[in-house]
Amino acid sequence: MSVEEDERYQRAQAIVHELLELDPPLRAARMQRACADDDALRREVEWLLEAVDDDSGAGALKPAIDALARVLLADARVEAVAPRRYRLVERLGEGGMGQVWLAERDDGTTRQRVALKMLRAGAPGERELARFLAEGRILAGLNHPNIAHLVDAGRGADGAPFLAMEYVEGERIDRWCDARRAGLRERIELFLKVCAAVEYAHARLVIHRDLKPANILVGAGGEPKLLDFGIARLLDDAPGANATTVVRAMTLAYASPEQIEGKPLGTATDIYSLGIVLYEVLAGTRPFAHVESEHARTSAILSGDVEAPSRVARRAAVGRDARLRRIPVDVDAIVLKALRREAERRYASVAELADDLRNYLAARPVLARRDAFGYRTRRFLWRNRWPLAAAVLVAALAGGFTWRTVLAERDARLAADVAGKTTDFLVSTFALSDPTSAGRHDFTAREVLDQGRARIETELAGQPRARARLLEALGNAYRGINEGNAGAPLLEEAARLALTPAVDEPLAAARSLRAKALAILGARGSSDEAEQAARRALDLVLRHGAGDLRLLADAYGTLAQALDAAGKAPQAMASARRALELREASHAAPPEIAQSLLDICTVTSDVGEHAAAVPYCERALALHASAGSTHTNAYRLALREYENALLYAGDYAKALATRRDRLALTRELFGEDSAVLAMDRVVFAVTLAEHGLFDEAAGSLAAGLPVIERRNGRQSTQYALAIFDAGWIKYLLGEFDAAVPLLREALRIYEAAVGSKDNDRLPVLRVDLAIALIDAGHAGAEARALLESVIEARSAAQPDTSELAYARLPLARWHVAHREYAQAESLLDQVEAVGTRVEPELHARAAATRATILRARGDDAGALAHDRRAYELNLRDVGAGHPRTAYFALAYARALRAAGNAREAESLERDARPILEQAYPADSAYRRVGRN
Amino acid sequence: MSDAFDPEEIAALLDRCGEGDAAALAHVTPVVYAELKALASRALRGEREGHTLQTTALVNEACLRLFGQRRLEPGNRAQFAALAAQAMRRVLVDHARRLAAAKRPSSDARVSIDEIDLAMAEVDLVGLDEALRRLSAINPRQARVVDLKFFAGMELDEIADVLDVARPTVVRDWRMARAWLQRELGG
Repeated sequence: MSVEEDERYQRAQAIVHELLELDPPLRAARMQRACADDDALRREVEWLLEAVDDDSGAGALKPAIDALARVLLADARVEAVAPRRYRLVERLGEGGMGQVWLAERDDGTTRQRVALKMLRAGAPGERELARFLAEGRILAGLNHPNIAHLVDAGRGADGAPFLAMEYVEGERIDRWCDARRAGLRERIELFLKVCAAVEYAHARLVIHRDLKPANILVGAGGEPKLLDFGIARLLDDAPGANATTVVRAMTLAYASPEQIEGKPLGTATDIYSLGIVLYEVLAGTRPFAHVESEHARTSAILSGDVEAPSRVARRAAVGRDARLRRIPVDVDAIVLKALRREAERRYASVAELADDLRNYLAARPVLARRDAFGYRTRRFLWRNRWPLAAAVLVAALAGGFTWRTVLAERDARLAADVAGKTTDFLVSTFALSDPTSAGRHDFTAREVLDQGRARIETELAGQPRARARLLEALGNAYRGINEGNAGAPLLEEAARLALTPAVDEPLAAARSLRAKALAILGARGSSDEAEQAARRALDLVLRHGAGDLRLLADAYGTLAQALDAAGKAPQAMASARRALELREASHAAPPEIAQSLLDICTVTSDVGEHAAAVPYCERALALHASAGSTHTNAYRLALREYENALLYAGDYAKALATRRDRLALTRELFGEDSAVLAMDRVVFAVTLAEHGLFDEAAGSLAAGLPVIERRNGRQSTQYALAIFDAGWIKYLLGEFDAAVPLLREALRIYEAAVGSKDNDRLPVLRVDLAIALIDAGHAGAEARALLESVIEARSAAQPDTSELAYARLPLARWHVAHREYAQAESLLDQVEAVGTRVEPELHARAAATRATILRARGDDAGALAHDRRAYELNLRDVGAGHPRTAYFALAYARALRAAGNAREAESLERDARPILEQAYPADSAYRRVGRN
Repeated sequence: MSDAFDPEEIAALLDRCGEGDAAALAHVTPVVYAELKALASRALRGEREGHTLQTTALVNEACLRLFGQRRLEPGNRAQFAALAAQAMRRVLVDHARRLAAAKRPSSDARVSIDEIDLAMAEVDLVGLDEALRRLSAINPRQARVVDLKFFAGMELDEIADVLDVARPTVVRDWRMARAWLQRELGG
């Protein structure tokens, strides 16, 4: 091992090469010469010559390396993939999907034993992963004592996705029953618990798709736990997984006919598989167990000819519990009904299957027996021919944005209204088409919703009750995809139907009307219409609610929001407080009380009491935190209110930080590629720009805008708002000429999308376009018309609203541009009369406008005072470091210089100029003031 | 993974490696390394118990994945094999090191229980790697012959092509190096 030895080898091998090139007779002499009297070298050469003669191949080394490679890599892969915070304990198994390990999850304080599934798939792309994680979150939302909880889903160190499930120790349901020699009744009772768990998941639009005894373990307490709920679906979609793997992995023996045929799957597939499980638990063997080849088994399943469990049980192996050898005809009928080839001939829901089993246990007649006549089925199909067709609709709802949004949100209202109602009525009653086969974009959802709406009108004409419920579900679905304006008329129609004598469900009408108000408010539609709907809802609850405090609280809460949007702050405050009292009195859940506090916060802020508003929002957030609901959309919306309150209260730093937090939450809740995140990003970009953080704003805008364009389309209100914000950022940068076309296009799209109906956003769009036009030097007819239309519409609706100030100020500037100073001053008087209900910025700009007027009139001293006031208002508002302050500082400095106070002017300029130069690009209009 | 790389670009880099361009080598090695690592993991995850992982097959597949159906110039093919051999060796040794560092009894238990007969794999890979590293200091060509033979699974004829030396020379190098390694590892 020494250097000496190495040198010796080096020389020896060279000598060997040389020797072997020589004719054999010459070699001995050459070797003699080469080694001279170095014995060690000679021995080395001889040893090597021998080695060269050995033609035995690689020896044991090569296969050993290959074998070792396998060991090492197998082990190392696991090492590498074990996600952070997990420690692998023991390998539980390996299947087509990948490996399953018993692992410990360490989240710093607690250690949890989990079954860690490391999926066999290539590294997913960002979008695929985001979807995978989003689906994972939905599954994580399944909280049922008989369902093994999905603890975590993510991507391991090697990029392959993993799932962590609650680790369950137990025995397969069939073996557990056999080991305990459970009787028929006991088995059915245990199976009913399984049904309850499946029913729970179905109500949340999650299908198991791989139910089998191996996935149903019974623990020490005799409680069954269902494993891998929805995992099959997740795996299907798992990034990198290919379809054939999934199909192969599916356990054929428990697969439903539609599964084998590769058709879209619904809840009916689980009902079928439950049938097989029940069959096996009772009869001790599966149907088709005797069929040898896979091909024959496939055909047998597809034929739908299932041998009755009782006949199989009679033949069963000797030694099997005698009590189980006689299976009653009723049970036969139930099992066979679950196993019908046609999905629509099975039980319509798991609940129905469970009910029938209970009928049997209670010795009541079972439904399944009657089914033999086919009467019920035919009646059922006839009565519900529309809803069956509507399965397509549910597919889109379930597969697209809505489904994920709704479920991920866990917003009590939305979840209850959309998931609950839609599910109750459509999903669990009728075959739910497989979400995977449906489109995955809002766009598709919107299209299908439109289609569904058309069908309700034609096909359910004679069934007002069903129509009302479907219209309500549809209306809420529109709300779910942020198309509240489209949903509102449906909800109105649902309410109308609910109030007809044939239906007579006033509380359902109240619910629809409240949903309508919220839909309009969510879409920033007409606040008057929202208020009207909310009032009607409240009225119905007061008359028919029979003292249900929570219903009443909800009605007041919604009314408060509508009143606030309509600018009726005092009434809004009264309603919000009433809602809060009612919620507190009825011990409502913390998130509901939080909602009331938020409403109060918003209203307080809207009446100009910004500092007083903030603590209400903070209390709301604290309630969420104490209830552990900080990972919800409700919390996200609460953060939004809080930010607004902070902004108005002048705490920009905290507002900005909160907004950053919210963005992170949005990403977690909705995923990287969601339209919601994209919209939040765009809005955040404007906030950043308003704080002079233009670079970061550009980044945030660039991340959001394309997603909105792709997800919502170029004709959507969302896209209009997004390019509006892009234009506004240009304006804030002082690039007025670039801002104008964007703002104009945004207004055009927006008007087209909302059909020029009264809307909260339209005035903002119009005013801001006018402002940009005026600043760009185009104070012409277009700008004036925009502003006057807003003022006209607003004053008609609400003469003293502070909103008017936003339009009056630019109109004053418009008049200044046309040297119509008297009109301008009268408008400015009105703006200033609004007081603190508008931001200090507005007052600063009003002061600056006055300065311009006074200067034009030759009153330089008055102009100087107003320039000073404009500067100081900004200074107090956003501080000396803000570009806006710097801009007004330079304007003030110019006035100072004109007044002969060069020293003070210079000192101001020294500080302000670098700020402007750093914040704004060279061609920005704001830089011009700095150069003069 | 290979999607990110342009086969043409890699081929060009391989050309430059062949001309002794160290920068090109530095550029292309991680690509090959990553590819092999991914392939090895994938192959193992798909494999049934008892199968041996053929390092040779992996190298070939990596080549196929990186270059698709594109026919490689013979020179490039050889250059790639040489690179892949080194990468393969690194993949294996890195894992072996990590395992050794972990020194968790359970991992040893796993190996002996459900993987293979340990007797077959009594080779000390980390030791082999160190020995090869010394050999490459003493005689780089012999070390490369061993790399190509062991880790890329190449035949001696091919190795002769890659290294551009006469076949008998490669045979001798191989046999001498083998003897040397056995002596080193045995001691």
